[in-house]
Parts: sequence; structure tokens; C-alpha cells
Amino acid sequence: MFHVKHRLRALPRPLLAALGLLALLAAACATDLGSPDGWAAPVEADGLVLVQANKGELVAVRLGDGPARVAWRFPEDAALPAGVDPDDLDDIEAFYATPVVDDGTVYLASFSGEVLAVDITGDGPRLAWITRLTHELVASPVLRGSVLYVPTEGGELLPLDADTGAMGASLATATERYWSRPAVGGSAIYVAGLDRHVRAAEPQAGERWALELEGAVAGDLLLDGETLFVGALDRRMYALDVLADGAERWRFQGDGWFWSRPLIDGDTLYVTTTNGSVYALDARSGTEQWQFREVDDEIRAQPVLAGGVLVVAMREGVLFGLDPSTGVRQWQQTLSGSKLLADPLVLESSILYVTDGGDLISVDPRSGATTTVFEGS
Amino acid sequence: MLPIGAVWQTLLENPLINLMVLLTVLSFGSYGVAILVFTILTRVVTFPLTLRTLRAARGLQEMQPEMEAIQKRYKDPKRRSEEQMKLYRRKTLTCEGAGVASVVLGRDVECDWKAQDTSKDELIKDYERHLERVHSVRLEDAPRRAANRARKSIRGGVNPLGCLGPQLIQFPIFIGLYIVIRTTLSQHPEDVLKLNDRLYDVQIVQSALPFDTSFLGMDLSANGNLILVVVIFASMWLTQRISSARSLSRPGSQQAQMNQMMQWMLPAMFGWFALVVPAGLGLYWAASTLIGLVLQWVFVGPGDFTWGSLIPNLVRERVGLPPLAPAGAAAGRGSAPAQRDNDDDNASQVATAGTDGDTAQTGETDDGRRGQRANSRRRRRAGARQTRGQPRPRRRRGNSRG
Repeated sequence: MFHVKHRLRALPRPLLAALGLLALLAAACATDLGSPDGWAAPVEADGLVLVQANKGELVAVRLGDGPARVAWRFPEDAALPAGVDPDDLDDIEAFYATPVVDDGTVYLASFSGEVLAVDITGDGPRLAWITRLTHELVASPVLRGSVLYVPTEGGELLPLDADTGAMGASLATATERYWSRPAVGGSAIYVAGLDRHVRAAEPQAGERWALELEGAVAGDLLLDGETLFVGALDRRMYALDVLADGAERWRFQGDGWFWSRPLIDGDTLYVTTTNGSVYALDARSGTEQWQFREVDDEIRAQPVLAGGVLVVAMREGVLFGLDPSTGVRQWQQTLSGSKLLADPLVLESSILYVTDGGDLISVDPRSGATTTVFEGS
Repeated sequence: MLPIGAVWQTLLENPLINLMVLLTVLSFGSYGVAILVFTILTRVVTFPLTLRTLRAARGLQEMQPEMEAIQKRYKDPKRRSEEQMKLYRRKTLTCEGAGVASVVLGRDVECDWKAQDTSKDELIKDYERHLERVHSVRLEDAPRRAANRARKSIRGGVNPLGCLGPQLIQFPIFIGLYIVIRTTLSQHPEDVLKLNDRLYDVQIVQSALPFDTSFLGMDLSANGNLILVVVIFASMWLTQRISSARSLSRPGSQQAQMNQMMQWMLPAMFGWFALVVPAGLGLYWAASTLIGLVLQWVFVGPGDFTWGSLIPNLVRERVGLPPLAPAGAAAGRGSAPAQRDNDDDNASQVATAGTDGDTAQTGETDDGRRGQRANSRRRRRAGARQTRGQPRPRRRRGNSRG
């Protein structure tokens, strides 16, 4: 020990300082700064499961008894309309927005600002139209009638003609980004942004009302009857009366940000936080029924109910099966080396999760048994 | 993550992130104002170090003639380096005799002491002798706190790396802030989600997101803000210009060339950095450099810099102003006596001391300088008396020239 100390002292100070700085640099480089990878949820369309297997690439997978087969890839296999250059599609970045499927057409919104309509009724994908917006897209669009409503990073809620992609004027303009999927009810569209406002808009009348919250909203909205459930980054879940210009019915204080889409089952609302907590709340009063928290990890994926089990996925790949009435853990499963951020897809007897690497994982909700049904990148 | 990465995050990044978030909340949500407040805070915290640096820089400037004399005299690099290091050690930067005596005596005293010993201990002993001899005061008789303050305020020597202190301190802050700005102003949802891990469990911090990334028309999260590049370049150029006084280096000398190079290279380098990093970091660096410039101006002075010197000769000719001398031309005049001294024979004088001929001292007054000059003359006379009766030592050309 003495020798080590002695030798350290013998080193010139500038050398020690340089070594210290190098160590700091190495530490700084070790800090993980992410790139936009996207967390689009898998969707089911025409007997296929569409999943973002790589950044900006959508893969149609046919599931069966044997190994999954790739039906086609987009944009690689896409037939393009006249005037669209294949190189134009190379710029497509990650998909955060969950694809919207309607009558043989899939609508995609990319982080790089493209909105695409893809016809999947044929043998392969056929690009029907592409509209480039000036802002990036994170929030999932919603389809109402023949209009696709696209919230943008520029704080616009843009109506696009679902048949042609023609764009109209923004219905509800925010001062910050839109990251949450709007909710549609009656003639109104409800949208919330990072500017801490919830807005109601109508296609003809434009913005009807706006309500300021205490926190930004990044998670998807859930409309149940006349109640709009809004999770915010001020660690509060809000229940708003949409018939009374968004009057607050109740608010619930959680232990972290509410970012995932809530799930409602009867009178119970299931919500999760980025602190790893799962809450069951009385949807009418906001009263807490139970809380589950075992792992200190973010929950971004929506909790789902399948086979009588509430399944929750943590970002770092830990899955929990909970008793929905008590919150007691039924099973736990860990997918090592995988991150789970996208909302899952509930099938008849299983739940499909897509990992950050583009793998499709099938989870049996009763036992928690997992199977990799498709390997992505 | 590597353990060192975790340590880095826990000890530097996370506190910085939370501090920036808190400052943003207190700045009414403006991230730009938060960066400016952070810059001022950093400058206040590192001010003692900055002051030391400014003094060291000034000391280095002042000993430039002697350094050049050494360079001229000793051709052997090893010997030259030894002599330079001796000079660094010997140089008494902070003649704070007046301040120290005031502390001990409890009344204002002119700076009447100057020492040239090699170590701090010897400096203190020398000063104690001086107090007894001139003021009939013993340091031991002073109140303990006063004596300690006096001892602490005596410093000797010049650390040639002293100027690097604040830069070294700022380096991890700079890197940390770079990551903090990228993390907190990131446009990617994944990064915002990760931020949840980094924020402390305090409601005011947790509910602060998102931030207003625009400030004075700039997008703080975007790279390549040209206005900031210009501000950083200009302020760094000016800082370099006033910190490397031309009168202290001969034209064409190595030092003059180095000053010239640094004056353009450093601003160009940091201007480039500002171009490739988020504007938020550029804002920090611009504000920090401007504050540094003001401190330099206030505590060291502009040297021989005048605003008029910014007018190029081409324009001067047209408006009838006298042309500017080339960089360091004034220095030629300023350093000539030192050169003549060397030519006389004073290699040993250069080697001993630095500083008999050195009148510039940090913070000293004109009266102080007069006192020092008198002391200096007295010492020279005493030296002459001592040596008068002795045979003059033979110059050992071979040795002294290395």
C-alpha cells in the first residue's frame, strides 16, 4: 500500500491531472444518449401482424403454428405511385405513432414528418399517398370518418384527407409539442400537449375549449363516456368532464409521471407511472383501490387485461401478471436484454410485445410463459 | 453502464440536471435565463481560482523579459528548462507585505517588503525577520488568527500551469453541461423518458418539463448558432489580446509568435466548438467568456490594448491616424534594457532573481513600488559593499551557458 501511495506521489501532477481528465471523458462518453428509435405498437391487419422491426421499417408477419413468416416489408417491397421516388422513402425515420388500420389501408406517421397511406389488400404493400409535414411526428394519429387527425411536434392538430392525403388547417394549435394520441368522442376531438393544455376541437367549429393543467401531457388520452382521463408529467392523473368544458372531476397524485395509456375495465381504471407503480383507481371518484410496485423502473407500455390477468411491462423487460382485483402478483417474467416501451397487442390467447430490437414476444397471460415468435433486426 | 459512468452520473450529471431544472423553474421556465444564472453561479464559485489565475498570468507576463534572456543565454534545452524552473520558483508574485503588516499591526502599512527566497517557508521566515527589523513586531505576538492570515497571504513562486486551474475546473463542468443540455433539451421521447430516472423526487423538479428551448430568437437545443460563434470568437480574441500584452514580448520572439498564434487559435477552436454543439452550451461558453473578459479587464487591466488598435492600418491611413506598430514592436523597446543587462554580464543576475529589476507586482501601489525600488537600491548597494573587498568571481562561461 505504501509503495502504491509512494508511486502515485512520484507521478507528476500534470500527468495525474491528464489521467483524471481522461477518466472524466471516458465517463462522459459512457453516458448513454439515445437516438430516436420509436415505440410504435404492433397492430393486426388482414391476418397479419405489422411490427416496426427496424427503425423506419414496417414488417408484416404472418403468425401460425410454426415459425412466423415475413409477408412483406415496407418500404422495401412497396409499389410506389407515379411521382414518388424510392429514395424519398429512405429518409423515413423511426415510428413512434401506432399505425392506424382501416379497411385494408394502413396509415403511418413517421418521426421524420411523413404521413403515409399504404394499401395492403394485394400481395404486397402499395403506397397510396405520402404527405410530408414540416414537423416531426410522435403522437399516434386517429381516424374519424374519412379524415385522419395528425398531432405534430409543432403543436398542430392537422386534418388529412384519408383518401388523398390533402391537408387542412390545424384544428387546435398548442404552444408546445403534441406527444399524446387524441381521443375521439361524438363530434369532438380531444388533444393534449406538452404545453400543459387539454383542448377540445370540432372539425367545423375549430377549438371549443381549452383547459390548463399543472403538468405537460405525453401519454395517450382515454375517453370513457363523458370522462376524459389524462395522465400528466406532474405525477397526476386527471378525470375531466368533457360535457362541462373539461371541468375536473377528480385528480389522483401518483409517485411518478403518468405516461402510459390508462386502461379501464368496468369502474376500475388501471394506470401506471414511470416510477414503476401500478394503481387501480375507482374511475368515478379517483379513489385508490390498490398499488403494486416491486421494481423501480419506468412503465411506458399500456397495461392490458387478458385471460383475467392484468399484465404490465417494465422498460427493462420485466413483466408482471397481477390479479386485477387485488394487485397481487401472479407471475413474473424477465426478458433479459430487451426493452419494452411499445404498447402490446392483445390477441385471442396471448399478448404480443415488441422489443426495442424489433423482436415479437408472445406472452401467455395466465402463466407468463414467453416465446419469441419473430426476430427483428 | 461502467462504474465510472455511474459515478459520473451520480456525482456530476444528476446534480447538474436537477440544478438546471430548478433554475429553469425559478427563471419562469426559460432555459436560456437558467443557463445565464448557472454561468454566473459557476463564475462566483470559481472566482478565487480565477483570481489566482489572473495573477499567475500577470506574473508570467512580467517575467517574460527574464525568460527571454534565459532563452537567449542558455542554448542547452535541459539547462534552459532548469533555469526557467528556477525563475518560476524564485519569482515572488504576491508581495502582500503591506497587507500582511496591516493585519499584524492593525493599521495601514505601505508595502515595504519584498522577498526572493525560493520556498514558502523561507518567505515566511524572511517576512518575520522583516517585521521585527522594520516594525519591531513579532508574528508570534500577533493574534493567532491574524498571524495565520498573514502566513496564508504570503505566497511565493509562479506556477506556469497556474492559468490552467479554472480551465481544468471548467472542463468537467463543460462536459457535464453538454450532456445535461443534450439530455434536458432532447427532442426524442426516449431521452425525456430517461430523464425521469435523473430527476430527484421533488414535485417542483418533477413537474417542470418541458422547457422553453427558445431564447432571444435562438433554439438552444439546435447546433450551429452563428451569433454565438461570433460572440465567443470576439470575446476570446479580446481576452487573449489583453492578457498577452504586446509590450512584454519582443517582436519575432518565440513568445510573441506564440501569443499571436494563441490569439487566433483559441478563439477559432472554441468558435468551432460552438458551431458543433447545442446553442445552449454555446450560450454558457459565451457568457462565461464575457464574464472572464470583464474580470481580466478589472483585475489585470487591458495592458497595452486600446480600442483604437482595432482599427486596421488600411483604415488608419485613410482617416489620417498614425499606423499601428507590428505586434510586439513596443516590446522591443520595453525589453531592450533587459537585453542590455544580459549583454553586460548579468546572467547570474537573471538567474538570481528575478526580480530586482522587476517592479511590477500584483496589486501594489506606486508608493509601494517606490519603496521597493529604494529597497532594491539598498540591497544592490549592500551587495556591492560586500563584493567590493572580494575578488570578482570569474565568469565560468562554459557552465553558465550550459
